[in-house]
Amino acid sequence: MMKAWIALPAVILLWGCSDADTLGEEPPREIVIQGAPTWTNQIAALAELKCAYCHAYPLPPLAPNDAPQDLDLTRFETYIAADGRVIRGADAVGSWIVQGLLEQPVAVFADFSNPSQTLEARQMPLDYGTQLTAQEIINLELWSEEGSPRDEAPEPAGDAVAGRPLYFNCDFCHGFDGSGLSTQDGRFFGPPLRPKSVTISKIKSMWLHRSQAPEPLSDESAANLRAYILQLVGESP
Amino acid sequence: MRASLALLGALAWSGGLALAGDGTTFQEQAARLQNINAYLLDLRPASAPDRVDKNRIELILDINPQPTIDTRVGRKDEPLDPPSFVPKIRARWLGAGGLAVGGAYAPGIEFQDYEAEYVSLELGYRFRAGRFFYSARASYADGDVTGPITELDAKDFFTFRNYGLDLSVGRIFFDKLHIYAFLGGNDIETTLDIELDGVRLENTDEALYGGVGAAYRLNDRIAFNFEQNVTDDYLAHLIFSVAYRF
Repeated sequence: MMKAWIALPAVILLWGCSDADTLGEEPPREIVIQGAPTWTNQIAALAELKCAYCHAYPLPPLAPNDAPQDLDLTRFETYIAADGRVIRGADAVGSWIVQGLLEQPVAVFADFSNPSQTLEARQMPLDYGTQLTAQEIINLELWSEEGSPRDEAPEPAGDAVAGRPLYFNCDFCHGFDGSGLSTQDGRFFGPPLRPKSVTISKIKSMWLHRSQAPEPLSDESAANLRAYILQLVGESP
Repeated sequence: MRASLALLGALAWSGGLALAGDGTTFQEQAARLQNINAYLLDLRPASAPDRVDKNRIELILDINPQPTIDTRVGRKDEPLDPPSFVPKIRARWLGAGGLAVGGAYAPGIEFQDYEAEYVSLELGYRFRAGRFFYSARASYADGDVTGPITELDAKDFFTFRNYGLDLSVGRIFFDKLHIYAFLGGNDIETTLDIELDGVRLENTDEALYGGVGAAYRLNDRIAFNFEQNVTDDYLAHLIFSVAYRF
């Protein structure tokens, strides 16, 4: 018995252990999506887990200094916050994803008055953020290619004639024919209008975010404007 | 007694056996790193719970070898070179009545590219029953570290505040060798300000800790101590100590 007691410190010395499991080698958690990715079919969960810890409003403490102050990926639609500020929702990020923001940094313009100024949107997620899996990137790109749909419900038809006068708020960036306006080095003031991304929700978001309109667009007006835009780019509503 | 020692022993050797999960997030990775750094700076017993016959003062040099820490968060993997060991000098007053009061203080020391400020206190009571010694101890540690924690050449700022409570039991052999074990709980609060990007990470955690140790008393004044610590299921670390009693 006594020998066992004396042997204990020797065992401790021999087996003394110094080790820290930091989770550094753990793979990122994955949001699995069955079926077509939509906001209500797991894209919201994906954005919440992997984007919204920085991209929320007000800006969370985890957000880096250069994070946009008006982007809230806990929400789908662009909205007007209590302080009157227009905050973009997740339906505003589709074009960035289509431009490749999940694969590399994307050049952007700063403002209309100085189109030569080059800014770069950093690749998302940032290197220290929770990484996207290959399948999640595919799902986000697929969702964006399909126009960042909220769900699988069809868009309501509208009256293109009634929508035509509203397009004056869009043509400054997207061109009179919807083919977009870009700088000589390929950066967009306004990208070409992709029929799939011309949704009621997206039109209402852009109306709030980019146009100088004094108040939000109604669902009916957005449907009318959508009908006109689809006619403009040669698609049937 | 044997069962409790065996349990603590099993706990000690399970340090590297963290449960496999279903993936992680950067918040969990960052919180784990903050926890590990805070627990490594905790004021653990680092001594056998022996009871003295007259009032004594101890000066102790603790050497804390640091485990290799994988600092990868997300896909960011910096080749950082943190200190391979951390020294700590502490003093302890041992009362003949069983009271033990100790502490450590490091005012802005610079060590291997890092600057640290540290203060810690401990208050305990020890008693003896035959060849067995027992101790109940509360501890508090508070400090900060400035240095390249997330990025080479960066001046990140890490703060920690640890509260601990533990119980120890030990047995003495040949009047010189003291084998002991302890079990306790920690509450911690940490913050990490990352210079790059201006991000601030705040974290709180609670964890059980325990360990086993062996003290060899060379003579009435000098003792050597070796302690194996285990915290939760993801950290195991060692503390070597040399103590001189006045």
